[in-house]
Amino acid sequence: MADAKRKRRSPTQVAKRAKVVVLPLTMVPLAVALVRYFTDQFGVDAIGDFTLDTGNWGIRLLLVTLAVTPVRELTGWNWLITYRRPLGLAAFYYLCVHLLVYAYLDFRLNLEFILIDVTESLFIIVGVASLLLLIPLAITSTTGWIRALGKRWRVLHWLVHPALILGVVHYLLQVKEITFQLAAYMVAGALLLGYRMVAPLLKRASSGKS
Amino acid sequence: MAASKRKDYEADIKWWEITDREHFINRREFMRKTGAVAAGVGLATAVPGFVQRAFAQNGAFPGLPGSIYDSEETPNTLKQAINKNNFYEIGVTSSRRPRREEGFTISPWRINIGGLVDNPGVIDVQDLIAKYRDRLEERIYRLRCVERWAMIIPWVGFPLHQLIKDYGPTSRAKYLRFETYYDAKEMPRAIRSIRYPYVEGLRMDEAMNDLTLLTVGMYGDVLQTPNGPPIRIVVPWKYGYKSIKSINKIEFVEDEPVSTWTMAAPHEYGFYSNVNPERSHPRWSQRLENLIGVGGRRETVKFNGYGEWVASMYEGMDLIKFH
Repeated sequence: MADAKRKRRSPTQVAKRAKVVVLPLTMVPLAVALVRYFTDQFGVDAIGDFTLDTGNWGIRLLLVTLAVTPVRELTGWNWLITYRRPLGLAAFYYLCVHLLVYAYLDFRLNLEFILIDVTESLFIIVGVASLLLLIPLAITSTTGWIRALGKRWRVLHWLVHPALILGVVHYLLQVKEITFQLAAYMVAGALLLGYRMVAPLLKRASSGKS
Repeated sequence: MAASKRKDYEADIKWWEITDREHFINRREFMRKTGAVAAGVGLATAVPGFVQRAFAQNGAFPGLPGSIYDSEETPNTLKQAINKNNFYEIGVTSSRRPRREEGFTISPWRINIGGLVDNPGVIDVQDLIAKYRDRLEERIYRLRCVERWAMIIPWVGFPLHQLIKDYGPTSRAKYLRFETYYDAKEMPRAIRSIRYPYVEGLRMDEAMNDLTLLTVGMYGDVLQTPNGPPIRIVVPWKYGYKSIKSINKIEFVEDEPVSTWTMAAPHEYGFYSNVNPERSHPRWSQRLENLIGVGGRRETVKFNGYGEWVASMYEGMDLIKFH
């Protein structure tokens, strides 16, 4: 039996091996954005486009991260869990770059101006709140922290939901029309959050029957 | 030099895309003094500094006089003015850039001028340009969008008050109401979040202000598709959406017109829409702006810096309430 296991790796083991490529893969859009920025491939408002692009990828990766658990539960592909942490961290990295582009390229680190914007612009306040919520989650994403926090880890990481909502609202506050992309974010976000509300009820109902 | 901070994006750079302010002004002076004929290729090639500017004669409006209102800042490139834009009728927003094939029929183009005037009528835009050709000026204006970006653009036009006087508004005419051309078939990509046709308005004294420019060109040439051809107005002390594009109707009215954006979101966009750092947009601060191509932010100036010519029109008015 032990021999058979050694010959044929479980999907989880394969997934763990493949993990090394996940994080580099998630950085491809950033590499593309950097190339576009430094070779003038963005539009005439290159800083604005760079900001928009990194913000978009942050939200997309956050949505993908939040999709891991539902997809895993619905398909039984337990190996997917391996990718949740790197995907979540990638989302956080993109949002950090997003903030960096805003503060360094757009505002030239003018703290006085940044302070004006962060306190007076509603969409900036909402965006900053979203990123602030994600900071403790990124810090406590290590195995050590997961062990140390025990049950409280799950409670803390529930904050990813309000962070996603604030992130999408941050986007929504800036647009003049609901674009297809924004609608997709809202629908996907609603489905993923809705699943989390409905799933425990379904589980309870099915366990009650058996 | 501020111009060096700007980037040139295309290989086939045209003269107006690389011309910095000093050359821009020189070019204008040169064209005016020598006339378009003298600025021919022969002379241009004889003077090394003018080689690139020899293209100027291809523009529809070469060698126009400048104005006392000209901004001291370096004009943006035409490419920037075309690409950073909002023109909902053709589906263009600052996040979705224009495509080459986009456009609508601008010839023939008739403008209906009526309402409370002595001489109402319909005039073809080419006849109108011909009629006011001697009055055309080039004006380098700052443009401030409500979404916080700004640009410096050389427009071609003449003060709207000249046309107003010729049409003879009656004493009951208190406002001007403008409409943008709209044709659902020609504009299938029009953004659905606002109603069409697009409507804007000005109070009579605002419309009569010497700064209010009836505009038929930019960068020495005709208006480009996203910039509202063949005729628009430019009101430089107000947010960009007040400078209505592709006008086909001007009406003199008694009551304050309800503009498209006020209809869409009255708490966000009022009738006056004067550039005002003290009045935040509900979703963002207006205290800072982003001059396209320069990078960094700078402080917004009340009335977009045109206070000396326009502030008196609003004396005693609460500009937060009447935003």
